[in-house]
Amino acid sequence: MKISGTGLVCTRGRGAEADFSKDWKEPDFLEVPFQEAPFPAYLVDASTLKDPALKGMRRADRFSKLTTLAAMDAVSNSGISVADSDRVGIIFATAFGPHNTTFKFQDDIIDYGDAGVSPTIFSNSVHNAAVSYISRALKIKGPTWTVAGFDRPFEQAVELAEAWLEEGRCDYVLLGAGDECGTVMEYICTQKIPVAQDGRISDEAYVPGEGAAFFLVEKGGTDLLEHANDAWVPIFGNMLTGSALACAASVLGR
Amino acid sequence: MSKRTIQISGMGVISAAGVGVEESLASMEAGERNVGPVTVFESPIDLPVFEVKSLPARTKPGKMRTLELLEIAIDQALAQAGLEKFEGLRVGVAVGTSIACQLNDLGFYSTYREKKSAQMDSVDGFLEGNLAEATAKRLGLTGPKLVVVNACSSGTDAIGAALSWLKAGLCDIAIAGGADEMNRIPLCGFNALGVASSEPCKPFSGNRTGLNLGEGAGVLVMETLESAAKRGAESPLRVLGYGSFADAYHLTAPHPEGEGLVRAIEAALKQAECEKADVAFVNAHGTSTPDNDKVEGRALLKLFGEKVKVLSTKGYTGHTLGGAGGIEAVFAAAGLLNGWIPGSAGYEVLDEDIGLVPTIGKTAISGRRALSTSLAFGGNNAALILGLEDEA
Repeated sequence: MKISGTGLVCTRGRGAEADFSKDWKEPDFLEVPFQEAPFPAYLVDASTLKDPALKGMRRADRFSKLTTLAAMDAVSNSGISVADSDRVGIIFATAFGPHNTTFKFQDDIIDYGDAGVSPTIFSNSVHNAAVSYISRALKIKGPTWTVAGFDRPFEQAVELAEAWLEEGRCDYVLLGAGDECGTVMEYICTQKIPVAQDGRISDEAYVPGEGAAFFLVEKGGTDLLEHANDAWVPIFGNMLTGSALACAASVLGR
Repeated sequence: MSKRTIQISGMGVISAAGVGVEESLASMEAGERNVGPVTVFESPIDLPVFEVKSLPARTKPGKMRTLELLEIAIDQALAQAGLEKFEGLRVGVAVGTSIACQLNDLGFYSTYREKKSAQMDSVDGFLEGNLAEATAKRLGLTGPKLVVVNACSSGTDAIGAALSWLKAGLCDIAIAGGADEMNRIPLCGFNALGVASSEPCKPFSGNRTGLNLGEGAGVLVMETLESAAKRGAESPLRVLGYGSFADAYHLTAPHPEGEGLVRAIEAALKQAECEKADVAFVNAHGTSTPDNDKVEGRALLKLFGEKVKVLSTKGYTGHTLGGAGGIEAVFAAAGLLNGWIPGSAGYEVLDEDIGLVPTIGKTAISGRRALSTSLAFGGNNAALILGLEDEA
């Protein structure tokens, strides 16, 4: 696939302006309930998500905002007009989706009862809310998909995008992946994987990260995934969708 | 575009309408509506739902109900397709869902909030329960795998993904469909959105008041003709075309003119090389919400005119969310094969604003093409053209 545009939102910033130096930087530390020590995580800074382009997304959650920014940047970076096009599709891959909003909705049920919950929080808690925001923000009218997986979800999305382009279903696909950090999922991490409490990622210990990367791709060109295994993990933290961020960093950080 | 022809080698379905295609058709033919209060969890929300009553006990603590439902449908479909072993076969799996992609376990979460620890059974069930990955692992499949989470069009979209894979030569056989369970989270959510009805749903009826949630799974085994011929497993049923387009309009409401839906139907017809006049019937999304049925009904009338037969099987299954597209594809294929479709349960009076009268009672159909449509929360629309093999 030919990469016509790339967008990236990560702990080191946004797009080509992000800090791509591979020097170790201390992660953020989340206060996780019931844990004695704060929990390391590479988070996207709130300032990165401040952009006038998001003014129409007042009700959107942080997950939708960070993914939409990355998608907008990929289109902007391409210089290609996608507005009102039904020849442009979206495929967004995620492992866990907007889990902070999912748990917030469950907070609502516990705190206010089954019949007292917020419809807005529910609407934003579904996995494809982010792609719905992206399609509206960029006026993309082709197939707008979200896929979820734990086993190389970005690679699954790439395979489908290639099939769509080959069969002529789309001229362009806005292809991306992303995930967010949050305290409940971090608690689960503490129960499931060895976490590097000192914030230093190794082969044996992890530091979760968050962010999103998008590519506007078309037919032709080289293998998008050739940079998927580039060693960018110390920058972004560990993510099941991290190969997308590694590809984006390889393109933008050259 | 690839000219590979894709057949349906096997079908499996489980919903409130029954377990298996035969039982489901018999119950729909008899007009049975297995609707009632929620029993699989406790909730003060008193809304009718369509539950599966015959689900066996969980085989593993924490295993997701959605995965249990899916496995039943898959096993039926594989048995019909004559597939037991997969060694040497290139088999993919694409499944649509809404609920199974999230850790929607209020038991885990409330314990986590209240106490300083929580049992990890349901977390394990979630992490091991990605529907495509779990299926590939259980059956030893090595082809592409995908879980589509486009809300209510997910099942139809998963079949569309499998069609793309098969036509692109990424696999020779694909297991595709959708599954979702009855779950307290969406019950609360749809109630809050004001789209759930306090009475059994009435798709396309002028006095409809909303949807009822349901649960279930519907699965097709899709296969290239070459692969089927090699296995001696030819079938007359085909997946001929698929279209998917977004409204880019609103997070929870469809475009008033059904813009994306019309485009999706036209794209599916084009890929299937099918004229509108060739469509014998439409198994519509027909959720019974005022908005959906109005937009969809008007779009179908505009595209096909008054003569096309339209039904919604949600009057028998409820709205099974990510499972709906898979279940409805199975029912549409069965309709083509058997030459009849059931009445659109729940319909009572004409909605003058739509002008569409769905099927009333068991209805004979003549024709070799059927359309199944899905409209999703988030604005995605999907359409599938199924068919019988062309006569020589």
